[in-house]
Amino acid sequence: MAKLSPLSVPHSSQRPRLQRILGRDYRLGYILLIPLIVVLFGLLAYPIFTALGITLQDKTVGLPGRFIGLENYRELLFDDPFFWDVVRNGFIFTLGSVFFKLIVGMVMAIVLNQPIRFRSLFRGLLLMPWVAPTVVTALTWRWILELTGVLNYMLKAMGIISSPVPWLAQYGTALTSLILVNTWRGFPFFGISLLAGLQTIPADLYEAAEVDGATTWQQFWHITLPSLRTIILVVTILSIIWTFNDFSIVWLLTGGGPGNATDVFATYTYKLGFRASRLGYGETVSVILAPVLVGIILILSPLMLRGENE
Amino acid sequence: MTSHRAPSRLNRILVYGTLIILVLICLFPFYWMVLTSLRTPRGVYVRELMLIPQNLTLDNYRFIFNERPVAIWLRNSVLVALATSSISVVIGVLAGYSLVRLSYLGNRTMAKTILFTYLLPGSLLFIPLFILMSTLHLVNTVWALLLAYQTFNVPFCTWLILGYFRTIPEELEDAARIDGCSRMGVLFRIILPLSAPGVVTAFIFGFTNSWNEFLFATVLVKSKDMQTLPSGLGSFLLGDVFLWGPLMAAAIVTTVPPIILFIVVQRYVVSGMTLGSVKG
Repeated sequence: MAKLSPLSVPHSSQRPRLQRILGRDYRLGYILLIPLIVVLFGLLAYPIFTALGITLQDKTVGLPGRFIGLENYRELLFDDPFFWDVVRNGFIFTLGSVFFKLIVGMVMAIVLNQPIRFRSLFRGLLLMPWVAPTVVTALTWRWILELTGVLNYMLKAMGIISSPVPWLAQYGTALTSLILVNTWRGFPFFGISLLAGLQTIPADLYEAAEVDGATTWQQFWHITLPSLRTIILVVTILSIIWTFNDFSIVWLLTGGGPGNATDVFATYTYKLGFRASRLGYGETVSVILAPVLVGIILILSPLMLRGENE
Repeated sequence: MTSHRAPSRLNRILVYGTLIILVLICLFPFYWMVLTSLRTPRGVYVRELMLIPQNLTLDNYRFIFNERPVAIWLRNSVLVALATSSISVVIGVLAGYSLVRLSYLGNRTMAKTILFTYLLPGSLLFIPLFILMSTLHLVNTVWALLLAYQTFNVPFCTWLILGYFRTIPEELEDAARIDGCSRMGVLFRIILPLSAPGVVTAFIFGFTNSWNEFLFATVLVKSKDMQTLPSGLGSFLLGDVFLWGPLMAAAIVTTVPPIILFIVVQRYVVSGMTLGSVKG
């Protein structure tokens, strides 16, 4: 279709000056953006700005804060008995969860991409963990993992353990249990995203490889993985962001315990802010990690934008 | 790896075997949730802890609706989720049209900002939002949730809607404008009807996001009669002795709406998910 000459747009030299600077549709364009801008500034930019402010105060719940400079940061980094444990837990929890999610998600995607019967039914069933509210996931798994819960019951019946294991209440197993529950909840997201990627790989690539005598494993390594590179990167980084900041699963399964053994950033921030009532100090935990997070987001957004433009 | 030749028998066993194990792992917790919710308080524990259903009862459901404020939480959840996602979708439609079809200074930057803000996690925001809501005297009201949920729902809905609007051919809009249709006329008479499935999907995802939200709900609303289902469930656990039967019944009540909505939009789920629809 031939490009119709622009509708009612006057020759550029006749345009009002503002329109020349701000663009053809600036008036309606900006008007339609007003609600969005109100939300972005009022509920995001402004609170984040005040957040930076309160980390410089000894603000507590219900009382005005007093300016104390960088004292919160100093205390957190050098005097806090748990902060570095929290950092360690956060990294183990995040990397462990994301690793398992990627592996199980890849298995799910490959299996669903085979010529199987009832594929959409299976796909729907495998998405169930991701559809259930996180709170429900956490509570149900807590019930399953209880000392008197069904997992201990089954393991005992099978003769694998002789006495019930307090999965969530002892140091050796609490963090691992959280990682597994988080994997259960999150792998369908990987699976379905990778499946979408697998479906875009042309079949003749595999046919050619087979003619050349490539094994299934070689095909996976040299065709499947490289083709999925961007998708893997995007879902992995997205998942890192979300897992790093997870609150519900940790809070509802262990409450950060036993002791501080499973405290991660969000639960520790919450404890400092609302249990100890030290809002300023608690927010410092979040703010100190914000640069890492913003860095990750800045790596991720161009990748997502590129996918969008394709 | 869809192979063109007939899959070997071994391959088939491997594929279906893996599939069945995965499905069992995915579904067992749901089975256990339903089963627990249908058992008598005593049947839940110890010796009778069996995998096969027997002596089922609806007592737990009666209990949570009569003795616990689950009906109120349900109402609050529905109200908050409906209102939140309605507002987000309206904002998203206006902004989406503006960003995709109108040309002016800064529209690209704005589109990037939206993605960036969507990726900002709630754990960074909950203390600042708590302080903001305290200042506005909105703590312990549903208004606090309504506002706080816009922080993730507006960027998310706008981002999704923006994508759908891009798929509508610009020629359609040009044609309508030649026939004398205004910009807003084009949006409401052409773009919106054509992208209705996308807009509805954004609404449903927005609804689910709000429905499932736990952290803001816990921080901003403490009083029992203002809570939503997720934060109500959380208080169940951290408060009394854990009554697993009633708790699992309330969990079912919380789970059913998202699952129904999921079945409705399943076709669109993949595109929504790759944009990172529901955090997980």
